Amino acid sequence: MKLEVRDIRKSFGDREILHGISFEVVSGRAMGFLGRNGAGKSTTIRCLMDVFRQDAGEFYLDGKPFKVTENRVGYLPEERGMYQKNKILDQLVYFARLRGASKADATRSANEWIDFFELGEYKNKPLETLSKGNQQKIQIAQAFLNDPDILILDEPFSGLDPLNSQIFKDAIADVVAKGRLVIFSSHQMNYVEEVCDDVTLIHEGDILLSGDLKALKRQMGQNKLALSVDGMTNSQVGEAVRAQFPQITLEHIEDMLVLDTHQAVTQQDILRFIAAQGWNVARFGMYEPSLNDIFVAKVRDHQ
Amino acid sequence: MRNFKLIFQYELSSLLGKKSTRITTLILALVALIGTSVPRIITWFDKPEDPAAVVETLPDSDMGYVFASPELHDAFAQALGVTEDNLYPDREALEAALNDRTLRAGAVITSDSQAEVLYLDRELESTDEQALSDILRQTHRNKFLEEKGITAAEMHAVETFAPQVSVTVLGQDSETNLMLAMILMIMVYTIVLAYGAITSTVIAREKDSKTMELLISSARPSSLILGKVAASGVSGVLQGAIIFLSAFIGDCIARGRDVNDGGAEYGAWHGPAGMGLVWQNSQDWATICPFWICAMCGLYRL
Repeated sequence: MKLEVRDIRKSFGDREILHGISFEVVSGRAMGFLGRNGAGKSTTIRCLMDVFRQDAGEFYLDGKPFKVTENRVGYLPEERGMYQKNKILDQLVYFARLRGASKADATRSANEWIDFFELGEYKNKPLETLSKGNQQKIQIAQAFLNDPDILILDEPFSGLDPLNSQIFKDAIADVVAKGRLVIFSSHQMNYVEEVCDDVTLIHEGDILLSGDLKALKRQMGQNKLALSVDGMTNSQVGEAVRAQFPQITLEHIEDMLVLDTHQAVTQQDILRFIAAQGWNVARFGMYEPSLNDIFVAKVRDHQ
Repeated sequence: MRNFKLIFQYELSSLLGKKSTRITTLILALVALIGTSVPRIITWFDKPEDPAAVVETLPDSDMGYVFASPELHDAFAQALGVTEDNLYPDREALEAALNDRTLRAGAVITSDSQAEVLYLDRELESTDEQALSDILRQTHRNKFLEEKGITAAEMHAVETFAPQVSVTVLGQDSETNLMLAMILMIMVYTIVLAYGAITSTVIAREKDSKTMELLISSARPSSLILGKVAASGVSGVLQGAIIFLSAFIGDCIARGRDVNDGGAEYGAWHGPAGMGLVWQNSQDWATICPFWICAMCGLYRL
């Protein structure tokens, strides 16, 4: 299953929020949709979910125009809300049936997910009787109802404690393992890095990059080496390296020095230099940037 | 219209399940039941009337009397409650008693059709002259009947005679149609106003609580709106039916009919008894209440 987002444009008043964005998501892989606050993530997802209509462009599923009500789609909106005064089981069954499940399947699915989040004792109580954390679990559960083919999660980890985040990550991993299509919007890079196989980065309504996360990391880390030496500061190491190899660019990232060789110097040349210096090397190897580094670098380049 | 039925059912059960809806309906039904049965309730507190004792009496002991003749005294003393203490020989003695405030008021009976009431200070709510006038009229009436050989009880029976006139309409009854039209108009008016407002509020609340985003991504907006409007309307009709039923039962009570027979006078429907929900030969609360409760429970189960 392949979901294509093609040249989507959306304006509110005179302000264009999405400037013709395009990317693809395939099933069996979780796609992290990244961007700063106000970048256009939720607007894209709301257009996809037909909460409002885009001004131009189209969504396609396996080459055909995508209609949310004609597919089994699980959706967790950024701004979550359910019926506070209604019984939890009743409203989960209702939401599952709205998405096309039979009453028996809806009841079974709702009970499964209530049990998954260990809230079985509350299922016949109104939502408002639960704590905020448990209410969030129920809201997450409704997205997983009825075994959706497509799961769209807008900022799913916001407000979740570490234990619930882990339970949720496991649930997403199960869905991905079943070969479902998962879109996961967030500005929390660590969660995306843990859960997603692919990433799409949106900034001010433009897509900056989209693709396989590991490949992106390799690409971004190409020609870069990480070095740190015991007993010396990164600045001291950097000065010595630059004196020997003036064509190398240096970057201080966290507790290490990143050397960009620009293919002018080989790894062996640098290794020989280090050996000649007699440094007590703490770390030396290929540099693989974190998602956060990629995000910052790409946004900086764009600006 | 996919999902319309599901949305309608869920919204209807949510509306009827609300405590506020149940309490409001119960209160309005009770008000209708009690309001329409008030005339009968009042009669429960009335003492049985003795037709012979129709002559009113003035209870005031602080009122004095003067009679122009012993015959007048004999004719009116009992009705006016005259004793030796409040009987005065002449007008001067009565005025003296009023001036020294021994009496509140006084009456001089000059004939069986003429009298005068005296006050020292007349209060706003004083109605002694009206009561005296009623007694003179009643006494005159009884005397007249006696002369004609008619007893007061016989006259009372004549006056309270209630003819039984039934109406059989072979064609259309415009009065019934008008009543139905009026009732329907009021119900439609209530539904349009009240439930239109309720539906708007529910939708606004869903939008505010962010539930709408979930709903709109799962169902067509037209199905959502129509389902909600239909549920609100049916909820209103059910409430109206319960209140109307309560009013009908109250009306049966008010008219003092045996519910078993009284119901038969409401067109083709043979009343609560026709539904087998009340005991035979009964017309009091003990039989009405179980029927009423059963009807309400039944409607809520829908």
